[in-house]
Amino acid sequence: MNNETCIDPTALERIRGIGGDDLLTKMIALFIQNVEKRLREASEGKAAGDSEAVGRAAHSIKSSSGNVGAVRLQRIAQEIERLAMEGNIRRATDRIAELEGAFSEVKAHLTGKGEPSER
Amino acid sequence: MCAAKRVLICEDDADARLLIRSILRTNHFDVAGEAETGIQALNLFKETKPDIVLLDIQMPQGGGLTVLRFLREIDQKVRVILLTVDDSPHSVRTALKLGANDYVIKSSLTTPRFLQALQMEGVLQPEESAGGESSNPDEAPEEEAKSKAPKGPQRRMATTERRGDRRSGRR
Repeated sequence: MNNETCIDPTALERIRGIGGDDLLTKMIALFIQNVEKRLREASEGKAAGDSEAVGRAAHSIKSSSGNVGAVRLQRIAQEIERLAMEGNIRRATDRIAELEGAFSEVKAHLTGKGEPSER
Repeated sequence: MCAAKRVLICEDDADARLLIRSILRTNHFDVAGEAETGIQALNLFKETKPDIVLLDIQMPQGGGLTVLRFLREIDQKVRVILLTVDDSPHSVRTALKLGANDYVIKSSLTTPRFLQALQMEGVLQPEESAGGESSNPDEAPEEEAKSKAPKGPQRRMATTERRGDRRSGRR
């Protein structure tokens, strides 16, 4: 394990500051929904050998992760996006499992705080 | 009392749209509409005539830069703020050359920077962009950008004209 932050709590606090617990709950639910969808798209892209699809999925995960302060997930997604956009699909897709692992960690962290449960 | 400015949100990720919508409403902006694709963005723009367009740089069926090109053919004056995940000098310079007024990194949506971009008048100059890196507009590779982009002073002029239009009740 590394020491990189799973979640930057200030990102969650800023969301709470804008719309309270209601907004935070909805944001987390949408984040989980979106990343799960994009992970499926990345896997489909891998199966099809479609580096652009993998890159698009990684880009969306990178963006959503930034909203909730999922620092490690964002970094891995960014690296996969870069590799995919460079056409290096094998190196990009080799890291999808790492991306899934990071997401599981984030999801457990977010849902374990009494925030929204799995959809 | 001034009417609330109307903002068109063009963003394909639902979580980002929710966050933006919440920030806008909290800060007394009206949401004119929400588009998830580039095509929807252009259609909704024509339909709603917003004061401000928030344009995600990467959307399906027409990314932000493509939409921006078409949008500037329709309306030279509406305030357009690009939303980007990072401040890649290349994409930021290209966006500003194509006529975007400002850009905001998505991880800054919850910070005062976003409100500043919404509330300020005028145009971010290329030299102010891309995290202070060298940003000579002529370095941008897009030929289309080169042919259509107004230079900085011209963009400032456009802003002045926009103010005049608002006073004269353009919307």
